[in-house]
Amino acid sequence: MSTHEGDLHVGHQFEDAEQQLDSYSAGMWLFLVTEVLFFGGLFLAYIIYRTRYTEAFVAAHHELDWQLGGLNTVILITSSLTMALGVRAAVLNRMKAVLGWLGLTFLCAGGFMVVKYIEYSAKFEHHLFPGPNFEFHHAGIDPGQAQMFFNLYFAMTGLHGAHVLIGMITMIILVIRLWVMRKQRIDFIPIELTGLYWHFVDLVWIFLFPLFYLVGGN
Amino acid sequence: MSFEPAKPKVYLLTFAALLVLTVITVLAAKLTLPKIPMGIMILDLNIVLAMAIACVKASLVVLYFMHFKDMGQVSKVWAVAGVFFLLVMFFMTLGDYENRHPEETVGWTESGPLHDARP
Amino acid sequence: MSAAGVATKQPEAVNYLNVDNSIKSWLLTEDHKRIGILYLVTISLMFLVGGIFAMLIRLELLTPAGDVVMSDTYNKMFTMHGVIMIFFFLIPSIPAVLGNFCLPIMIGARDVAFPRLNLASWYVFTLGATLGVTALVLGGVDTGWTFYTPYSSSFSHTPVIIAVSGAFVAGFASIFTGLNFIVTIHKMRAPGMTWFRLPLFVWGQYATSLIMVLGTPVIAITLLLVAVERGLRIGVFDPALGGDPVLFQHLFWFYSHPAVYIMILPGMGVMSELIATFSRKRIFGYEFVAYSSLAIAVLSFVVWGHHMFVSGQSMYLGMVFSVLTTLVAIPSAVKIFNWAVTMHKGHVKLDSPMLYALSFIGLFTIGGLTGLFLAAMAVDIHLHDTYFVVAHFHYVMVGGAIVAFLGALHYWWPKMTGRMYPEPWAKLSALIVFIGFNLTFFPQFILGYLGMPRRYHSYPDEWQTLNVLSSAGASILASGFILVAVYLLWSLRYGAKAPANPWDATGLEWKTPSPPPPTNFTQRPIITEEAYNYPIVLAKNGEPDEAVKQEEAEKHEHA
Repeated sequence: MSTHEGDLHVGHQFEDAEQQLDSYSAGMWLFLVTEVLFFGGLFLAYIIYRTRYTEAFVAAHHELDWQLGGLNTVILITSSLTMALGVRAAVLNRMKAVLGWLGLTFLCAGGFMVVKYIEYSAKFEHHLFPGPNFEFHHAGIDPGQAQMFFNLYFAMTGLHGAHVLIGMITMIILVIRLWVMRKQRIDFIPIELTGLYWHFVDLVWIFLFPLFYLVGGN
Repeated sequence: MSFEPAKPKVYLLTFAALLVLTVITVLAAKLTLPKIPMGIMILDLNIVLAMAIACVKASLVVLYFMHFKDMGQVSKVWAVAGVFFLLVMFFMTLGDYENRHPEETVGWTESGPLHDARP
Repeated sequence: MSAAGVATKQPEAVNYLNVDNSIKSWLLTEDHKRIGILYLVTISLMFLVGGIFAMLIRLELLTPAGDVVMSDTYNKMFTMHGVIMIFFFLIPSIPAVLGNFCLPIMIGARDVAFPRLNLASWYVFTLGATLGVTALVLGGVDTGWTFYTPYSSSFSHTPVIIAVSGAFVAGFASIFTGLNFIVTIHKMRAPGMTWFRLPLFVWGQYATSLIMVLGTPVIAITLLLVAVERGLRIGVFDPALGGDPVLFQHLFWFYSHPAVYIMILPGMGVMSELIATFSRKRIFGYEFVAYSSLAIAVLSFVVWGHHMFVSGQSMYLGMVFSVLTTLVAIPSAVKIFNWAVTMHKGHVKLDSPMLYALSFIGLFTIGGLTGLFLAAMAVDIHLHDTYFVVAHFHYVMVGGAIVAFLGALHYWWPKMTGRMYPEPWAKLSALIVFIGFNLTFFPQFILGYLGMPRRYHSYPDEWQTLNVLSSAGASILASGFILVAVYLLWSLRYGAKAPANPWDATGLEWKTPSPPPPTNFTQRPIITEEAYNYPIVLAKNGEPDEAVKQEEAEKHEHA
């Protein structure tokens, strides 16, 4: 067991720092399991509707810009790297490095949201947001079926985007906390847990990218 | 559970692999793979390939960025359980949609012991 | 053991109740025991609201004509009854009240793994319940607690979004509780408390938490989609807009079937505790009972389609669900047999908690067996959406889960409050509840078999007698519940002071004072014995047999 865990604050309910770390870690993985099932419902809806409305989905996906989607994929993968390095720095008690890596992760996340904003604005302009103003004119394609593609696109990328935002807010709180407690040994547990959460956010996008941006043959 | 941080090299290699696989995903989407009919469903090999690559990427993230191997047994078992029940949800629901054969039930109410017994 | 019962002028010992009486100390508590009490208050209020709707429903059904309320209003009454009772009473009930209170003590811990998450779960739950009540105050929802689309998403003119938001939010409370319990049970057991020395209540809580964590997120996303669909007027589940209402049902029941096991598994855990204590005997087949809880939790996830036999679902998948549903009855039956064998040749004492336990065994058996009727697809086609289904689920949810809740409440009341309730009144109300319950719901089996549909406020004249019996039973049942509330509240002020172990039971919670000190134990316990370590059965003539006498003699030597 690493000796640096000794000077960390241990909650009254725990016997020692190791039990605390084990518990928090298990708790976070359990929370991620709930997130898997949460997104899972939407993935199920996607599977069902895609098998039903294959042609419409293929036609609809051409409205998405796969290069922007690909860029976002690269941004998120990079942010996962910077986050992992940040967690490592926290364990090694390197304050400046942690702040640096967290900052980079935050920037990547911000970049992701900017690209997302660009994509969404384009959709709104082209009347591709589901609802009474939806318009889709492709020969031979039922607009209702195409709208289903966009229902799922906005629901899934929207929910994912909300998770990115929550991650960004969490990072801000982390940095503030680190700064306030900069005289003490870094408590790496919150950073580790945030890291796990952030990697999960990356995971979801890894599946969303091909399903929405790369449907069928290009 | 102890927590020994990995060397940065591990993370960088994982990162590189993920980028390469992303490129492969995009290239693979440009292929037009056969679509195999299976009953009502059509198995689109494009999706299978895309999802297979995505699973590999996901495994890399889970194993290396989330250092799955260092985690306690509780976390590992539960992570697997989560994915397992997700798949149960997918496959059983698909089982419904793929096995609706309404044409096989045509005419059922038009003959048979209950029908014939009516006055 | 402590000199309980000896009258002294000692100042009252510090316990979790009197350690700090300020409101702030309650609202910001991290003590699992206080959080359990907070939950008890909130869910009791919700039970009252849900119960009022039950009485209104039975009032309407006294006469064949729809003469008390209009059909639209009746739809709102049964919907609100279902939504409140399921999401805001039954799902939290035993886990959030008794689980929170007892679980850490039973495993020898000072608290749960995440005390602040625990407190957060109560606030989140209360927020969800408030949203539910808000939907009620704004006129109530009329979609049925099942929120089937496209009625709920497109056509209903009631505050559906608020109601589903309430359930959505309350779901998170459920997830927090389940997550907390799983980590607590894995990581916070006292030295010597191996998995197979755990009280079976803990196994039940673990299995329940498994379902809470895996299932609840799915209903969360489903209800979120319904709200989005309704708000943005899009068609995820609306056939007119290209959606599939059966997909909604798949997603809804993927959670809602396991949810019913969230409601019954804790009750079964309670049963093991009550029957062991009041038979003064180890639970027969401990490992089987423990594993059966896990089996029920796992199997519960693969049977949801039995709610959808007539929905247009594939007939072949229906057969698969039908077979799997009959399988899930097996672990439940294992428990019932094991409890019965536990009582055999035990020293059975008919204290009020045991009366509830015996009621549970009978009523749950009927409820469970009638579930098998419904599991058979061919039979279900006739019984679906009739009162047979209503009777079935009330037998398991009221005759099973609520009876278990009452039994648990009575059993652990002395521990939680430090007071004894008046036993004669408790026995009387147990009897009233049993009689009232059966009178309410047994006629409904017959009504369902005869074809009376559920969710209708009027019915043909020839069914009035059975409906009148049912409504009469409901009044009796209600008075039983009210009586329980009255004497339990009375006992808080006037009840006899409770000793540490009023039932002479085994288990760590009975080794602490009643009420327990804030940190549960003064010294961390070390467990060396199996669970339910009662002395071996009495010999035929009622005298302890030689082996027991020997054991007792050895114990006194070492004491």
